[in-house]
Amino acid sequence: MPLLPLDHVEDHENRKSDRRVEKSDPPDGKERRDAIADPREAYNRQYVTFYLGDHYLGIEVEKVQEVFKSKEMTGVPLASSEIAGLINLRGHIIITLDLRKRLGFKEGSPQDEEMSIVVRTEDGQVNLLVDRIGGVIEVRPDLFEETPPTLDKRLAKVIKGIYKLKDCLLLALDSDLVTRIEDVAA
Amino acid sequence: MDEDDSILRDFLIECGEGVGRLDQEFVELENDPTSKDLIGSIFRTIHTIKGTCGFLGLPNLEMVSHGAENILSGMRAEEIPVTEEGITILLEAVDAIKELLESIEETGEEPEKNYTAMRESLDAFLAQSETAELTVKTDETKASAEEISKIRELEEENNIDKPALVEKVEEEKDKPAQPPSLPQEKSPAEDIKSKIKMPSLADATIRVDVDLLDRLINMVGELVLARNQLLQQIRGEGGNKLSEGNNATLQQLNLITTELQDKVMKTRMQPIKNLWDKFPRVVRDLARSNQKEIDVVMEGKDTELDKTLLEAIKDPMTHIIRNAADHGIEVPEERVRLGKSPKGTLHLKAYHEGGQINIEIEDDGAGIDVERVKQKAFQNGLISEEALTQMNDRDSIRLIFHPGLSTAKKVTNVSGRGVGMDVVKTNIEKIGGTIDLSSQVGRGTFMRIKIPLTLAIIPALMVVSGGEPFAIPQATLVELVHIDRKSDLQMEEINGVDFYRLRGKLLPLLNLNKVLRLKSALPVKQNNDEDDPGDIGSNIVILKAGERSYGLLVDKVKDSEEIVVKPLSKQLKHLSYLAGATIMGDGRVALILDAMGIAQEGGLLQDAGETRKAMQEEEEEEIKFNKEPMILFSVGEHDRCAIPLSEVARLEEINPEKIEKSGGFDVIQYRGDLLPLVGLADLLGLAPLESKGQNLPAIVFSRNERNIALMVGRIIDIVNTDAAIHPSPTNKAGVKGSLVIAGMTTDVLDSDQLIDMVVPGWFENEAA
Repeated sequence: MPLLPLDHVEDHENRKSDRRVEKSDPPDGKERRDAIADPREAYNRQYVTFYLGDHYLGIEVEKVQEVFKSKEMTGVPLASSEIAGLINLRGHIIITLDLRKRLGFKEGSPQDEEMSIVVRTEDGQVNLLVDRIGGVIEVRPDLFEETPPTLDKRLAKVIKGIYKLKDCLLLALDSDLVTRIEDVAA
Repeated sequence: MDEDDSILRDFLIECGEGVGRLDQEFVELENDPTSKDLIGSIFRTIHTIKGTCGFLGLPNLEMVSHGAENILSGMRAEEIPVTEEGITILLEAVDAIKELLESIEETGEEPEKNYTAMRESLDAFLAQSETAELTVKTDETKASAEEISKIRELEEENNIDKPALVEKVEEEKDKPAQPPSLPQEKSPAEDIKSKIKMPSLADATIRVDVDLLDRLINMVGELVLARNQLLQQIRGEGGNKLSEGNNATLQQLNLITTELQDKVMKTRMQPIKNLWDKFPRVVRDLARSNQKEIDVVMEGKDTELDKTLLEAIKDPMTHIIRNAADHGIEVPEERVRLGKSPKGTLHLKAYHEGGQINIEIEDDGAGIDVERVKQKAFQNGLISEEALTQMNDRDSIRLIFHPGLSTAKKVTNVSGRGVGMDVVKTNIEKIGGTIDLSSQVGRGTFMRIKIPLTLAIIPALMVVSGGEPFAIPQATLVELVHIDRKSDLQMEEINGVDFYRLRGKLLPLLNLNKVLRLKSALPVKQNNDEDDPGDIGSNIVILKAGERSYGLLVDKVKDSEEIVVKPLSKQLKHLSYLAGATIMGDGRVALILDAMGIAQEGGLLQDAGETRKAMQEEEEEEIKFNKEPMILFSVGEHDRCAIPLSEVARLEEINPEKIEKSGGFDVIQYRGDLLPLVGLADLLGLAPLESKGQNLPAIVFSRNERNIALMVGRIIDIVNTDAAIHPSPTNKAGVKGSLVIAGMTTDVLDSDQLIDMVVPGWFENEAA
């Protein structure tokens, strides 16, 4: 697994425990980091960030399995256009979504090298195609804001909210929702 | 997982294994009532259950197993004879134990049901047997009673401090499960033997989670792939860069990987006896309730197959076995009357052959009466009378797999087989297997099931279409047809659906590129020059979709490969044409096609629409034959003519060298008579086909014991049609009208009128 640049890593130990204990105990005063629930919870969170065109997006670090340069994939005929194809990741066949199409973004100029982010979801691993990887950042809860109602519906449905960073906005994706597309007809 | 749960789980696993063996052992015991090994083994199993459930707080289970143990203890001490009655009551107890174990596994508790009746009947049997014995061997009964009371004492002692005893019982598990109360056995030699045997078996095996095994298999698959890529890379760079030592290491790696793969695949394999061991019991129960005598003979019990496959064939096999025991094998009196031994035999055989497992099930019972199956099929409207008469025995007997026949219970009463046979067939086909059977009335039935070694790896044909690789499971493949341009003619179209004439039958044709909307790499129907070197022709893969076949046009056909089937992610489940995906040797992902799904996607199985109608007509033609059959032939280059088959006597091929002249007619000597030959092309004023010295086809008409032959161009087919004949627009002599057959306009001829044109009054002046 390629290493990601860690921008603001404060305490490694706690982060590790974050990864292990998913959705178990409700956060209390001492062990608040053990819960991955609502971003509005009052503690710092870490996001793997990436770019899609001009947009800056992020997925919670706990949900991300790995990141790599996109590899050759096999297309799936008749599937919805958001499905880019299937890849072989060390013997597992993983579905790949074209995140740009999924979020209803404009077709960008073809990238030399698309990047893949494999996320763990309730329904198994899903690979997301993005333009460029940003890094891992830690964000403060007071920067969080609910999804504005004026946002494009397609996008609004799959993000948890927006972090107002100093020089840009980070769209926090909900990895479970963004990968759930079985209802979409071909 | 807390401690109690884990103890309970261990207990259940252990009991499950023991109880699984019990049925088989009891049936063996019935055949060999003196076997001390068997009684000992059964006793130990029951004893272990009883001993452990005491401290786990399972009173009902303890009660029943204790009752059974008492009887077994007597049997082991040879105080109670091993009788059929005894075994029956013990088997009932085993069933109760199974029921209890199942309930404990599901709910963690014993069922509500009251088991005192079971215990009472066990005790009653024990008392009765003991009294019977008492009159003969008073001393030994006393001894036995003492032993029993000793066991009870010990148990009570054990019950005092349950937790402290956990360890003790754990220890006991490792030891051969001998009753601690019976140190001085009557046959010490027997004991030592079992002591030596048991621990070695327990030490040699280990329980592993199937999930873990699956992951292991996956990883080994990955390793194989990585090795292949490494080898490819090194060969690509020119292997000479490698030093001798490196090369040797690489070879070593190669070898170890192959071996590892082989061994890991084996871990999922289980002997078929795990499934078969329950059959003697099933057969025994059925035989007893029907007053029959049936022997189960098994061959190749150690044949191994994948665990999931074993699960998959469990129900179909049980069904077949039950059928054979229930309906196949006759009652002893009937068998004796037929000159067979009163005891029926059910022969099970399993063996490997050509990468597949063959399972044969043979009984020497009544067999299946083919005629009656046919009759039923006809009565149920599954098939027309004509089709039946044309059916050979092999096809007719396969009618029992027809769902329409199976669900009709009547057939079971008649033939003894039928209910659920379609389910058996579907289940076996689902795992890529086939089932075949043959039967002789009065002699028995023979079935052979062929299944692949493993589900995870299936043989598949690799094809390429629109630049993408696809895998087609061999199980759905019927045949491959390569068409070069010349025979392009034989592809025809009805309402937008292409058809291909395969040996005279119309086969619906789909183009994979079109169905999946792939970019076509090769245009399919080209009117290119025949000698165009780029014209490599078309490949048709003929697939089975349920009962029907269709052709699938693909760009390229590659090799057959063993592929590992990987499941699809949820997002793709709605795509019916996909059966899964696989990773090819080069690491790329290939989609596995589902024959039924493609047919659906291609509109062949639609509920409405033109396609369906065309297909239906096709189907009806094939199945019903209840329409006017016509013989279809060509006269000249383009003309197609038809004559009702009923007017035709025979079809002949005439050797042109044998044609002679007589009275201004071409004649040949035919069956001791002269057969006048009339060129149909001349008669209709059409350009005849060049004969090229080959035999010429002719249609022979016979009226009033006289024959006349019409020479035609080429006999094409016999078709069934009920379409109305349109009156001929030209009103030409000898032509009744025209029909559209298989999308082409066809003249229907009037044979009487034609013959009359050549030889007026030929048929009439016969009387003279």
